[in-house]
Amino acid sequence: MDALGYIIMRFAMNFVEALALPSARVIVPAWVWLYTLAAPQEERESRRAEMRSDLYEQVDADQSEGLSSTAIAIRVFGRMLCGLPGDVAWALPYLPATLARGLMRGSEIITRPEILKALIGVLTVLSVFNVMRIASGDSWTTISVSNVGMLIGVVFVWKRHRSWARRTIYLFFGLVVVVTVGLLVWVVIQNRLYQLPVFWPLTLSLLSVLLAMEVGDKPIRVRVFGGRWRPVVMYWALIAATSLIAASFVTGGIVILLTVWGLAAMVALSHAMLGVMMLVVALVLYGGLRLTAVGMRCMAKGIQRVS
Amino acid sequence: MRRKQDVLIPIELSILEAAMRLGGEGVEFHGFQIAKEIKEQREARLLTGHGTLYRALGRLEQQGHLRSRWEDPMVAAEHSRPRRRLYELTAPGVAAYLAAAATAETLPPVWRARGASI
Repeated sequence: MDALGYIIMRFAMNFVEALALPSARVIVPAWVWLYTLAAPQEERESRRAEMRSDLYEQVDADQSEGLSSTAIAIRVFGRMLCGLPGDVAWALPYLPATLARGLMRGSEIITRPEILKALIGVLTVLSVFNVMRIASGDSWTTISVSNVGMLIGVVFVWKRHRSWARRTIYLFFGLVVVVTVGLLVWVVIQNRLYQLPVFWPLTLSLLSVLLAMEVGDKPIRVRVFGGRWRPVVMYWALIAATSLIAASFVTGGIVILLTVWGLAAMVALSHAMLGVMMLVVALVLYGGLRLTAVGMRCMAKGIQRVS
Repeated sequence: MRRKQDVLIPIELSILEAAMRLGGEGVEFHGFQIAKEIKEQREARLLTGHGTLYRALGRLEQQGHLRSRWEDPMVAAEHSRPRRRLYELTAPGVAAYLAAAATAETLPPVWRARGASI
């Protein structure tokens, strides 16, 4: 037992000995890097270079004295800790200006239209989607795939002024419309009302992209049959047309017709509800972001005035 | 409370004294060298903390008691080490140190040794 204890102790000591100096070589520059962040570039670089030199000189001097790595590390950490108040005092005068600059920049960034659209798109879709998931009990695979699809969709909409993004959006839009409509027809024909949740993720993906397109100052219009149509109008037209087509397929009698029309109406209603929900969440988020930006600007001005 | 611009605090006095020990006006030294000199001077166990030392060096430079320059990169490369920032005591620095030391009840040993020639 004593031998085992000795081995463990030796191992621990060797471990500390091996790690002590490399840790000091990482932690001291990391601390210098951190507290110099707010300083102007010239002073920042100068202080960092000076500390690199000091650390090298100290380790070199201590090694030539024959000190162990642990002892050198303790000395280095000791100097760092003793100098912490001085470091903080050195950094303090630079903080207000940097903080104010950061807040102003942050407020500009979060009110940029493309950032707003991307954020609203992502957050809206994810929040609505979670509600839907709870309601319908979708599988995680479907949820994950749809989430990824939505995020990619929002990124493409964000970069929609690029031709590659525009082409991809049209392709995505077309594919989702085809799949959604196909699934809707299948559900109606098979009379599988309980499988409606299957295409909700797809519908949500499509709605998120549509929403992102609508939020912008210049909503995207797609050229179809010689006219320039807003995708959201096309979407509703397709839903209506599909419902009618599905109804005419299954019309075997007035009762079935009524049933199918009822189903189509329910689908339309559920879509409308989704759209309203997403719009409400989007508006709340938009307002929240605007208010945050105003708050950040006020804080920045206050800091500038005080300092 | 802000301290007076021309009043030297103990760490600044120690730096100036260490600079005098290292050769006085016109002799170049780097930060770690000063830290070692102060340690020997005070017979302390620990070197001056990084933050305390370099903040004081910066202040002394601002006051014109020291001036600094970065070492030639070629020299540092030759010795395979990072570039040093070299400080040098100025004439106002020497004068400030002497004035501060003269107001003290007993002059520090370095001044007693050099007092006649400065």
